[in-house]
Amino acid sequence: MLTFERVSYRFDGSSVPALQNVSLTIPTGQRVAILGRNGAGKSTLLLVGAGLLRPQQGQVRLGDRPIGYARADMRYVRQYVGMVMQSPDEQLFSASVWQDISFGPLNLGLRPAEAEDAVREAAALCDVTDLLDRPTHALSGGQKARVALAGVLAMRPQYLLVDETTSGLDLWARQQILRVFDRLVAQGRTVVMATHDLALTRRWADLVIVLHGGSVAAVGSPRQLWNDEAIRLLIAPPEVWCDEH
Amino acid sequence: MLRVIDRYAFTNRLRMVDPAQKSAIALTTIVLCLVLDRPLVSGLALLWMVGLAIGYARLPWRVVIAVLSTESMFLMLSVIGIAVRLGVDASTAAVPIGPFWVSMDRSSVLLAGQVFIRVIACVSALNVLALTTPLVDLIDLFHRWRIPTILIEVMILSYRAIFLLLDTLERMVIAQKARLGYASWRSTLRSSALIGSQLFMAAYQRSRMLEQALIGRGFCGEVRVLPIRYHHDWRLWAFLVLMVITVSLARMWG
Repeated sequence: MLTFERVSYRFDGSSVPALQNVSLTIPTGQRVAILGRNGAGKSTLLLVGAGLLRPQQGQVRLGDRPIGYARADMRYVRQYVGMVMQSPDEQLFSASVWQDISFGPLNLGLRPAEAEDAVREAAALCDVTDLLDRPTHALSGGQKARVALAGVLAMRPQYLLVDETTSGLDLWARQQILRVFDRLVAQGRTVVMATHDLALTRRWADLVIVLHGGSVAAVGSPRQLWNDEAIRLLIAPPEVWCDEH
Repeated sequence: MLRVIDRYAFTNRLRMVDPAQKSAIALTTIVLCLVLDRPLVSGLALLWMVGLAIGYARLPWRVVIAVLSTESMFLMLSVIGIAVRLGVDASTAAVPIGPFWVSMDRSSVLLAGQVFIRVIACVSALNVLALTTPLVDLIDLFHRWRIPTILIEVMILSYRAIFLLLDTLERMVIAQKARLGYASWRSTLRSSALIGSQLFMAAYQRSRMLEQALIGRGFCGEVRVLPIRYHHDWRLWAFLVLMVITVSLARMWG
């Protein structure tokens, strides 16, 4: 389980905290959606969960073990939690797809032959095997998103944290990504996705976390939250709910 | 042009040939042109290189000629300085331009021609390497040559950043044009100045996000990626031997 215990985080120079006293538990083997307005703290929550930001208060636990921020601790965290950034261009750095996907497994300390296996496995999972020889800058948006996902999955994380990766993709590319998520959940892994897409959340998520002003406003199944008028208005304005129905 | 070269570097027939072999051919050609130093040798080497690019690597002739023509134009500007003499005294066959006299004679024109053909032959060898070898392969080669890691990492990130910045630049220019940027001389100056500063900010923000993403994938000070598997092409070695023989014979006769 990935557990946040009274976590608070404030960015340098900001007068308001991005996260305020957040406590929640993300169980394994589930599809989790994080909803909330812009600035509600969705991305910050994911970055803190991945150990990329260190909270000023509280702690994040992986199972029974609190996340440490020393270099040795980070390798442990990376094995369990992977994060896919909002824009794949922020993540892809290498000139070729093959090399970009191999970056994570080699950093985990895998031998080249093992890393190759991990690259091929992740590429097959994300349906990018035919792109392995291609340069990263010559890919379409959907291909970049899948390659960025493969780059993280090659590290075989138990928790995959996804920051609005499907936004901006066409329906086919989005569906391909969701299929990958379904395969991961079928393997017992957890996918946590920050999103604004209500229809997707209702159809896809097992558990929904609603953030408001850096705090957890509600946690529950889509059915539970969709029936609560007050929560619904935190998620989206009334006109949107009319369209939903 | 950068995108065109990059695209063909990834799609030509020699893509998976060991970059060391392609580098050997390019370097040998350059050394031959410099050491044997005859216009006939350089001309022949140029033909071999163009033939290799079009005939064997299957690069479109238009692309090969376009790249060579662009380079030739820059080269012409340089060799004009060798062919033409500028002086303040009148001499035979000199043309007055303002207070100066411009002249040229047979020897200086010949020298300019020799320099031109020698340089363009060397450049054509580098073109073959550039048009058939993506930078990622050259970086891989530098790894094998034990070039310091820090230099290689800077190359990897710079190469990626060039295309990211080009994309950002294109989007910014389109956004400005949509709001009458570049519509006049004054707005062109203003739009360009704004882009300069905004591009810097965008590059800085992207580099911060990229750093965070790299750390998220276990980056701990060294960019480590798997090497690419190449093959050696014996026909390219045969090509090299044939070229060395023909240009050596040309040197003996020329």
